[in-house]
Amino acid sequence: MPTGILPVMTNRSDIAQRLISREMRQLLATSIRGQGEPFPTRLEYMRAERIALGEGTDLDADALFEIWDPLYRRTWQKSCPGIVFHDGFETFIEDARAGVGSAAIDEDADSQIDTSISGGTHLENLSALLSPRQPMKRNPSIGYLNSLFGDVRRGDPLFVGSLNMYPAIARLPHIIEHNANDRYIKASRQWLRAITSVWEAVANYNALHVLRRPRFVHIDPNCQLHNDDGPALEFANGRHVWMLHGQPLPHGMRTKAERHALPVSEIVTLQPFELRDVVCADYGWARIADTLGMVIIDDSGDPGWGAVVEVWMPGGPKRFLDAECGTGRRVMMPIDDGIDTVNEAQEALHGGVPFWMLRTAVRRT
Amino acid sequence: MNRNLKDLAFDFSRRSILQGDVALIPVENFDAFEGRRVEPVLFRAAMPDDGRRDLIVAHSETGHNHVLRSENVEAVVIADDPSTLLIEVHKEGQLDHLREYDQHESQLVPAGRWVVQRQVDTATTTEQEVRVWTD
Repeated sequence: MPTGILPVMTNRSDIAQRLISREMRQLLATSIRGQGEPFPTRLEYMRAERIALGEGTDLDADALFEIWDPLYRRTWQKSCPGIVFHDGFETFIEDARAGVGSAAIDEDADSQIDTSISGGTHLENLSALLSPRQPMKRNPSIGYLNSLFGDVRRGDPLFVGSLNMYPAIARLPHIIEHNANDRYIKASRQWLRAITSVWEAVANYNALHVLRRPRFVHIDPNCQLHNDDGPALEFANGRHVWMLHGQPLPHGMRTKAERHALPVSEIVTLQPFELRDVVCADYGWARIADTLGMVIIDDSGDPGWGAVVEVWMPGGPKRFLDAECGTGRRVMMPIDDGIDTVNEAQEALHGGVPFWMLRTAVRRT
Repeated sequence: MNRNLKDLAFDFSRRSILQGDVALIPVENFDAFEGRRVEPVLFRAAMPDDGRRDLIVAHSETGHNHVLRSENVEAVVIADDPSTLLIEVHKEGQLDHLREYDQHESQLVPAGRWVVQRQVDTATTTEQEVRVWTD
């Protein structure tokens, strides 16, 4: 039996790119280049949006071939005899790894699966395997995406892997229905059924390994796994992943009550610093600063515009913009160590927008 | 994330709008984003009473979103920087903060092109290889 592993969804992004957006991207790219109005007509925008949402019905035979051919060649032509369902991440990874051998058939596929599977215990790759992170980073409409997860939790077949693929998957029922006699679709029907009902899928020559949907997933606005008072993810087998803004939480600080019961002296010495920082932010940087003491580096004199302060933390000083928001609440935002003035801090926190464009705002609320 | 909004074509006939950690910066055009990949922004469902649609310009995990309500607004997001939106407001809208306490006051948003930018903590590193903790 040949060895090697075929990442079923290896090309999902490329496929989705070709499928979803050829027309939409052209339209939007043209608009962004300033050729005419941002969206030439309302109708065109709506059409682009419909395509993005997978509601279009304009797939031609070439596009269909583009979708199916790589998937077909990579899976069924090389034989994928069975489908194994996994309720948890651990067995999914172990079994998928078990199919990796030394005789690589497809170098490209092997290297990619090596990245995703061998590194599967790393947060970055776990997130990728869990599917949502990358595409969600691209879309700020997290509320909408959360609603997709709501759908997922209800168990309706919706999508697998990257949400880049979602529009394609959303179209699948129609494609299948309208092309029932297509040889690719006939051959792939079982596989299709599998991938549209699971969270993630990886194929090796022994089986198509699929990971059932987690029972729930919580994320933050930056699309990191996150729940400030409970598990961020629960696999189908009931096992939990505890994360605070993408940082794994050890025992003893998984709930808000546990973290807030910790003394400041313990919080500020947490390792790694990334964990320390998210726990400090959850605890409140202002409380931390007030406990440890701080030095004012630059004070604008306007509480709404703020002051740059420096707090001595274990491992070195850390700087913040200390300001009042429009509601009168005190906000302390970490800033880079090289920032010396409030104006620089405001620019940095606003993506480089010059401070004079910010300070001349109509009003800050 | 790759942001440097220093060289935008600022429109000085309008003034920036700041609401909490969200900033709307008036611009004359979107030329500074030429070559950047953009994706459409999904709107919430139409408002049943007035036909307006909600554009969530900044999402809050607790549901306290900052939303732009207008009868006619179009938006795209920079693909590799989801905290930056490019919007064209065709008819004056209103920026609301959906929160019942400590609510940021609503602000009118005049028609025109805007770059919407959300404050981001640039000093916290989040990319690292770590073990996943499960119970």
